[in-house]
Amino acid sequence: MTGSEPTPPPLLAADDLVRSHLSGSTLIPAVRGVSLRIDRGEFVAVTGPSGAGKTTLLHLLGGLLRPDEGELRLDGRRVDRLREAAWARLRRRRYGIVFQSGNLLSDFSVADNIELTAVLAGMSTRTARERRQELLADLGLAHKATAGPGELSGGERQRVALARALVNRPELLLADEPTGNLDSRSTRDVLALLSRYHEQGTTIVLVTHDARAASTADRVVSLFDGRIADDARVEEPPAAWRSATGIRDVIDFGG
Amino acid sequence: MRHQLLALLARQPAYGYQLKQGLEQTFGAAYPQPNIGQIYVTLSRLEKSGLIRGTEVTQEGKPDKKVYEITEKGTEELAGWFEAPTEGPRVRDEFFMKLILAEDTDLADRLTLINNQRRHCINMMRGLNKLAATERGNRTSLLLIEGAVLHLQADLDWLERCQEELI
Amino acid sequence: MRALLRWIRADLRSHRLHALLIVLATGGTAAALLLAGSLLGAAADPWQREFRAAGSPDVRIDLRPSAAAAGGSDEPSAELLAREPGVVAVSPPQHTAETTLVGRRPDGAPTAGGTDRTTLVLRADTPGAARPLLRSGAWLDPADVHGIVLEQSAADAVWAHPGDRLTVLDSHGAPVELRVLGIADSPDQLPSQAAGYDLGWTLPATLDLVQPDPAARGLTLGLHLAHPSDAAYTAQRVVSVLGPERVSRITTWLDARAARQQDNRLAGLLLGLSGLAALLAAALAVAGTAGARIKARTGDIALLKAIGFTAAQVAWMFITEQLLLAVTGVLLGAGGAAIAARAVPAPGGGTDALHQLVPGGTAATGAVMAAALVAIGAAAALPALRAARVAPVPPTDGTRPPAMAARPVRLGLVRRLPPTLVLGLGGVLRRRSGLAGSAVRLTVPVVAATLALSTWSTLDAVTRPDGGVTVPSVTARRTTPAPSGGDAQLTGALAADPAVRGVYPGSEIQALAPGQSATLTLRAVGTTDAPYPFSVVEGRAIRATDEAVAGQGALDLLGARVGQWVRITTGGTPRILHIVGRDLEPEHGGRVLSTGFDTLDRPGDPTGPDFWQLALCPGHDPAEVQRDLPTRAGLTGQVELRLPTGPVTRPGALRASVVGLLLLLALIGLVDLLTMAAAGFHERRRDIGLLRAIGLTPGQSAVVLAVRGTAIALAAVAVGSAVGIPLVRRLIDRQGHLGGIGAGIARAPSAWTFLAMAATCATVAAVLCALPVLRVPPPTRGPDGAGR
Repeated sequence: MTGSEPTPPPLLAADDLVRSHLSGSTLIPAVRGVSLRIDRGEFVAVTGPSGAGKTTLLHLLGGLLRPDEGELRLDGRRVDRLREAAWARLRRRRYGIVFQSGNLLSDFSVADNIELTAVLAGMSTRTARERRQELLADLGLAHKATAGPGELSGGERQRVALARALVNRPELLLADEPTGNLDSRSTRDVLALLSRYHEQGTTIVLVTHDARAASTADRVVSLFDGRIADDARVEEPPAAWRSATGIRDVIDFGG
Repeated sequence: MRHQLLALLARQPAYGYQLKQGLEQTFGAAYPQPNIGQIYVTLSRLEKSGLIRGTEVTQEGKPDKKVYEITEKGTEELAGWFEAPTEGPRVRDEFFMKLILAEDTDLADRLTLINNQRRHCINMMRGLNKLAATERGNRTSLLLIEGAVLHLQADLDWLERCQEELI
Repeated sequence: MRALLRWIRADLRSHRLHALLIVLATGGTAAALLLAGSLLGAAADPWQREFRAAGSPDVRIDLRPSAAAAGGSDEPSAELLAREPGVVAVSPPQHTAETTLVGRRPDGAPTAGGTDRTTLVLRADTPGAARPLLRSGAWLDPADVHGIVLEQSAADAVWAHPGDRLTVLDSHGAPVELRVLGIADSPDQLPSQAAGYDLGWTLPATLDLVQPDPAARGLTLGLHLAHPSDAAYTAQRVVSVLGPERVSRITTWLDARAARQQDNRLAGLLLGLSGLAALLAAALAVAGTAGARIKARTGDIALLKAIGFTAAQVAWMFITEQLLLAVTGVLLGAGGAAIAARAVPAPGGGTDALHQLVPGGTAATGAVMAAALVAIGAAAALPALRAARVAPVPPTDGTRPPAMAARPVRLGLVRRLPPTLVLGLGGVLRRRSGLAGSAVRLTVPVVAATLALSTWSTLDAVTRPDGGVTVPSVTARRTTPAPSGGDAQLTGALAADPAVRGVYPGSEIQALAPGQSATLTLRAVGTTDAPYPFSVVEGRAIRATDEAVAGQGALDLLGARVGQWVRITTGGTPRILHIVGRDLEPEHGGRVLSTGFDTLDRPGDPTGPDFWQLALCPGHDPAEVQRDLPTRAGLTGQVELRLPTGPVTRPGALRASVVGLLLLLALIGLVDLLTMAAAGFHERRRDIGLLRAIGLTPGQSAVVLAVRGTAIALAAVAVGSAVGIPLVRRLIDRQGHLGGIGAGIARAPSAWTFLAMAATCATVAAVLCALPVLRVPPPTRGPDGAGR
């Protein structure tokens, strides 16, 4: 395991999280003892095959699920046993969560979706509107402010969802397959936004299948069958790679 | 074929013919059948490089057979092979080789192999990302890069499958 | 077929609550309809029960004195009638004698006060003859030949109580004193005003006392029929068999019932309508539940179709399921009603068999149940037809969220509210049409409840002796003969009492309508200078002599309208009155003409008032005044006070019906609200997960959902009241018009009642909507089910 510095304490520290799901009458283990340390400002990608427990892990980190066993600490403070209401307040101020789908309230326009989140987090109506305009402009969606979620394409919806999650400048962004079902262009835009916020200091945990997305992270955690199989920093490819032969080696996919 | 033979010999010393059988058994019908002549040629090369050592064994009423065993240099070479990330056009084949052969040797552990390969792929992906960024205006390049990206993705997915099946 | 049953069984098992709700709603409605019918038929008017209990004859024949019948019972007539087709039995003939009632002396009073001269028919109590039902006092004493048991309406007319002494004139004109031993009610007897005479039962020996000549005595016979519905036909035959010169009067049980039931139609129609409205409401509620459930299962239905079920089979599945539930409900409801009817003998049909549950018998009961079944089954089946049309493509998850095609809501000013409310209202504003459907479903029980509540408040107003519709009053009568000084001292003492607003002299005379066919009451109260405050609702009050205000019953009887002149005959003297207004008249079925006392200026009219009508100051309870005034005014023993009568004989049972109906409507309303809450929760399920992630506490999420429920409930109550009140007013007034009291008695429930109803509905709706969010542990995000 890498990344745990003696000081300061990690933003998110998970110890031996265990969580199972009840399916009918059988108990299916989803996460079986995952320990993780995520520092402030880190960008962590979580990969693994379907059923490995990635989404469950993400939900545990966001307090959407309570672990059956184990501890979760946010900034050193234990949060895994918090009540719903306390978690809600925590999420309001410090988290931004993007789901794989269903990220937008169907009854409200794009602008209202983003602004309501901001107002809930405690911003004034005016600040909320400004933030919304700023974010939509960043994403190139300013012209869709009054549209309803049904009028947007998949990619546009995910971008708006990101905007919604980022409007309150969260310390921690949890994103579950934000680029799933997106074309490469939208994927690129989403990843670019994530990188930008990462540079500004947001800690990001990204669950993804997409290697390209994973490779933009600082660190890749591989889950397999509810446990961590690998946890490694992403590094630059070896210097030799940059040479002409190196590139050709990769790009020549004759075999 | 060199490293396959080295790996088989790392298990235990063997005759050339036994090695042929070993290859067939390990890889099964999906793998192109090794030619005994090719095997002997590879064996003599390996011997010349000092990676294996051959010893004559006399037999009653039969021509002499040579039994081969791996040398320390050969073991080192093998370990290095396992550890090095697999690259090049026939990544899948070679990596698969390592994965299968690792089982019987103490030199490598399957999970580590997979993890290492995955890390490598991801790092490669990062390189491709950076490349794509610099080649922004060049559509042909971008297309090539995209092709590489897709293949890398496919490799990573396959790695996951290997992990599911073999671990 | 087997697959269908298996599917139904599995489906019911997984949706127990919904099945239970449908069964409850159906059963409750069926039970309520049956019980209401029974209650109204028997309880609101116990006449039917009493008729049976008293063994009263279906046809009663009064025969004139016949010279041929010289003593003993008139065998030939009785035998003749017994042979008539359809006659099961002839009750033993009873002799009657006519006398004139001239005076009444209350027990303890020194001298008798005069009464109107009315005909008092004495009927001899013959063994075997039907005995009336004793209401107070005791029956005849064989030792007391001067004893008489008065009929109820006669006793009311002359203010008699057990212990009073009546002075009657015998055939020679000599006064005979009879003592009232008891007061009884004979269900087959018309009230004295309708019959034209007062009735009393005496010993046969008493008849000898007042009418020594047997030939001058009349005879009364009763016929029991095999088919009571043939009574009118039998009556005609009797008259032709016996000869019209012999028959002085013939009445059937139908006449008796009509004369008495007049007063109960008011409430009967209303409750019947409420019952129908309840049925409609139940049907809608069931439709709503079924519809909501089907909407939630479109995925399953699509799958069924993809598997290979045809649209028709899918529709049949649902229809069969709903019918099964409805049949179960109706059977349970009918069974429950039967048990309830048996267990509660007094207000119900007594120990009657099940077929007596609804007046009209088995056919009507079956019809009611069938109607309930059809209505509710059809209502539940309609959504099933919609289910059949669902496309066979199961919805894919992830790509396109459902129901997102429409434009988003424009929030406008709503945005300024706290975010929780905005989220709640946004959903409401967006799906207005869907919510309208839920609101409409809830409106029907609200309208029905308004109807029931208005019935209650109108009943309240009409039956309140302190005069909800009329001015609170008591009637005062002298018990001692007037002193030589006149009545001034008495009236002065009465007027001086703080509870009394005005003292008005009055007299009531029987009047005949033109054509001598019907009687009405001419009530002369107050003078032109000091007119009595009648509750005039049409036209104007009386200002001169010979002007009168009429009750609706009188207008109907005379065939007159306000503003016309009418001619009536009182005591043989014709009189012409100008009807200047219509007032609300609860007494005598509205067949009353009210005029000033000074209108009575013809020869033969009473010179002095028979009673004084005391109008009370508002807020004074007439019952209390009746008790305390004599003592207060120092007039103990000199005056007798009486309360005015109301039209509805048994308001208690009717109130019970109203309460029962309200309970049923509450149940139906609850079903509606549950459906709405469940549908709302299901609709918003996705959003609730997201809201949780955004940072809404469970309490806030509950508020978001509750806003929807509250909005619907309030809308329903508002619309229901707005529709219900005018409707009710028209219905009640119309019924009052028909019943003779007159239109204008409608009383809507107070504003507080509506506020309470609105508050209750809103609270229940809010709680039901909020409950699923608060109770169910937070679901894992993603109905898409990805990566659990």
